[in-house]
Amino acid sequence: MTTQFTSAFPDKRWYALDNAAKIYPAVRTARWHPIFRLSATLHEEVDPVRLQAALAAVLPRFPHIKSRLRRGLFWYYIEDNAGMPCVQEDVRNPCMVIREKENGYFHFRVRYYQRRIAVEFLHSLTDGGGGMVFLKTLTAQYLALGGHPIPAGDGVLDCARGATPEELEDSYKKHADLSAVRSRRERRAWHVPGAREGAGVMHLTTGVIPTEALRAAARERGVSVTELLVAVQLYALHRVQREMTPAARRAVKVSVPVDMRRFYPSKTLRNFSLFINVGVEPGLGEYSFDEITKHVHHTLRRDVNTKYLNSMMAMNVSSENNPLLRGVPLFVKKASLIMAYQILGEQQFTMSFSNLGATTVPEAMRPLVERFDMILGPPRTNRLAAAVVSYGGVTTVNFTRDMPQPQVERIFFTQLVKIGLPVRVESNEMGASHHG
Amino acid sequence: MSYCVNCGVELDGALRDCPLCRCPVINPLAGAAEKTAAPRKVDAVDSLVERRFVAVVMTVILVFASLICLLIDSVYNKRVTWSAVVLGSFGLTWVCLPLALWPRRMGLRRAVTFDVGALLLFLWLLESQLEGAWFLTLALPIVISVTLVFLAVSTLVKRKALQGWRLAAGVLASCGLLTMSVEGAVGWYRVGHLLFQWSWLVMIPCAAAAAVMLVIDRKKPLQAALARRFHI
Repeated sequence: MTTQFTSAFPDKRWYALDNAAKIYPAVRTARWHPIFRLSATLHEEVDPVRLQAALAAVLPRFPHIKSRLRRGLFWYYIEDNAGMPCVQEDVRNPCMVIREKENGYFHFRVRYYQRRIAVEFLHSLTDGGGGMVFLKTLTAQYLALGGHPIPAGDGVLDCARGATPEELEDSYKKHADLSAVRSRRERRAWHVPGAREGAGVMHLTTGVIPTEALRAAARERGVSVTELLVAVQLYALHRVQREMTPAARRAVKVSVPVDMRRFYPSKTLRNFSLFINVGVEPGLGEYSFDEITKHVHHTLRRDVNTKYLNSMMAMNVSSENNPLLRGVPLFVKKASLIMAYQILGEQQFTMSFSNLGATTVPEAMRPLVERFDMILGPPRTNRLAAAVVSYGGVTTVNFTRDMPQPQVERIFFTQLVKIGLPVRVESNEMGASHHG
Repeated sequence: MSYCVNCGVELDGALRDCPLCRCPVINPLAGAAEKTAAPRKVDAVDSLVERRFVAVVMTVILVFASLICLLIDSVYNKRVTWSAVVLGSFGLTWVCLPLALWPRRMGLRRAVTFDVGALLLFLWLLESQLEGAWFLTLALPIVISVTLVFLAVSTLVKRKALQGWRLAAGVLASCGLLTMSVEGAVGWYRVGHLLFQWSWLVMIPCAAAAAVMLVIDRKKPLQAALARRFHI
């Protein structure tokens, strides 16, 4: 997909949503939006006036983010939004619904609190990789306005230039080889039982781990950092399953997003990621942590390669290209998209575990930025999600929880302590204020 | 810096208790509490607006439809005739749908109790509008027996007293009992006393199968042998 111009309005740009983005507007509800958040913590207090000026300078560089979501007859699409959103004070419960009208019909928001700049995106606009480029560019512009010029590079874009067609392309369509298609059906996974929290309550628990120690622990076991963290997560869920529902036979599965830019020569700033589900069958017996680590290592090494990922991507693209589906009006299509999201999405895994990896910034920016965080909004059906990002020698793991009990995080972090990693824990203390 | 004595993790200076286990932070050497790490402001999210909105809309529609029926009946017949049945059916619909939508969590048994009450009232209204005396002898016993069996089974399932083989035994026994109660009520209505002619033919195999299942439930080796012989 490249930028499309309508002949009648040459200056009015609109974009068809990319393959992954198409499902998200349809599955939104009045109280839930698929939102994720990226934040940068600086060494100085954030000035909201300067941040607003930085946003005004940066936003035109990202036309897919400076957009409004509209309903077409057959699909949703995004078109240029002429306004400018205001930066907002941060809240205790991030990633809640974005009220379109109050937010100037933008589907992202920029927030500040003490030394932190945060951006929350509707997943239709971009994914973690594209969102991080926006956050870094915004932060660099903010610092530049404060007298610290930051050169472009390492994910910071030059705002004097316009967006290129490669940055706005639908890389799924461009790179999918439709000759190899693989079914997306998998067995339904086990889900953590328990009552959900009330509207607006969201528990956020953050663990801060030294990256070098984490790398050493992974190296010691012959696995990557992502594999080690996914194994700890799977082990925590496996333990919770055995404690809460010992008779359960459904597999515990963790959904691991894979950044497709690693495998294809894509410069897109829009969505370009897929999900690999890795799990263990409780019916086979109790797994030790070492067994799970080996299992995760071999599963991810088997599945995370161009051929396997292409077959998944080709399935998604061929579904989108299906003439029967394309010709159905949006209001009918919406019901099938919701069903597909449930059956092929959240039903198939227990929780998401997203690792954005090690992020870097230009040399001039390094002394000014303390850390980066990524937060996934509460899922629609599942109760938990986690996101990881490494920067400046620390790795932050953010757990989002929509239920009162913190057993999963507890086992996750205490297991890291058991394997010799120091963990520092932070919380939004939503529990303290809501449950006394 | 403080550590959780229970979890072994270092805790952020702003925390008053461990977010992983709720163990309070006790550190007599710690200085003044740091500035809170989390913002105070909370993003408001509309609560239950959809359920209430749907309930209000349905209520308004039913009230208007009822008033129109009542008006037409009164104008043409000069008294309430057929509109009483329509009003009764609207009332039953209102209890079964919008009332169940209104509170956040009504619970299955409470909802069933409300629905059964409304159904009985509607059946009584039907009897009063039509000719015949079938409410006390036929409708009431059948509805009450079905409700009691349903409530008993659902309560036992909720308390985990009925699971696996026992649940299957309970469902089979309930089917037999319900068949007998329906035939008994029909006999009472037709001949004035309880009459069991054919329901034994259903009850006996149901009871026998339920008894076998209860035995299987108690005998683990038998369960294993059955699983071995009948595995698919």
